[in-house]
Amino acid sequence: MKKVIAQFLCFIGVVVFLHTVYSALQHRKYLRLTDQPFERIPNDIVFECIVSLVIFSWGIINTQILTPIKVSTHLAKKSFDSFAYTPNFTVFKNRGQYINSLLNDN
Amino acid sequence: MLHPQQIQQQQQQQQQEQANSVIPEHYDPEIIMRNNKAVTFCQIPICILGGAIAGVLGFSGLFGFLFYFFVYFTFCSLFVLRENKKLSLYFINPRSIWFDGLGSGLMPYILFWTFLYNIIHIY
Repeated sequence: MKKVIAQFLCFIGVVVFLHTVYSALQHRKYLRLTDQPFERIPNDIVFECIVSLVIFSWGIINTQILTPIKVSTHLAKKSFDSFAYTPNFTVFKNRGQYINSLLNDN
Repeated sequence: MLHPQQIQQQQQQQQQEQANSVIPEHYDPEIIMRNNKAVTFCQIPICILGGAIAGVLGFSGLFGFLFYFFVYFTFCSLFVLRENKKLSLYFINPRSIWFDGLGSGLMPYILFWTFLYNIIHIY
């Protein structure tokens, strides 16, 4: 799954959750105005909460990419030159400068 | 106390065993850290959202803590589902993700649980 889609799923999960918060607040307000006792949150809000949790967690899990921990899996692709890189032994004063001057003359 | 000759024999035996054995697999500690960090990165927001949901649903007392376990194991099962049983590639001890972050996720859970409970059911 692409990272952008996963982030979008996270966003959707948060938006759905905010909608549940708003509807729960409205339900409380309705009960207060009609003088009914509060027993429990209605089932559709509970269902919406669980759906938002699953969407958000599936999204945020897919934003992360795991890498294999065995050294042989990622070191096998590297060349030996990248490990035996010895910058102290490089020589800058070599015949290359004469070639360069020749090229500039022509 | 062992006789010096015996110690020498033991050392020779150990060397032979080492020579005969296969080269062990090495793990990269940096990548282990990165994977663990990725798991915690997923865990904390999920625990926060779970706590907020517990607040919306109006749980109080022990039932909220039971809901925390439900949230945590939902997350873990989704994680295992995504990796499709290849978790031993990414973690030394794959079972540890089922109980490692239980303590670290609890504090943000309680924070958001009380916060949303106060918003909806008290005020």
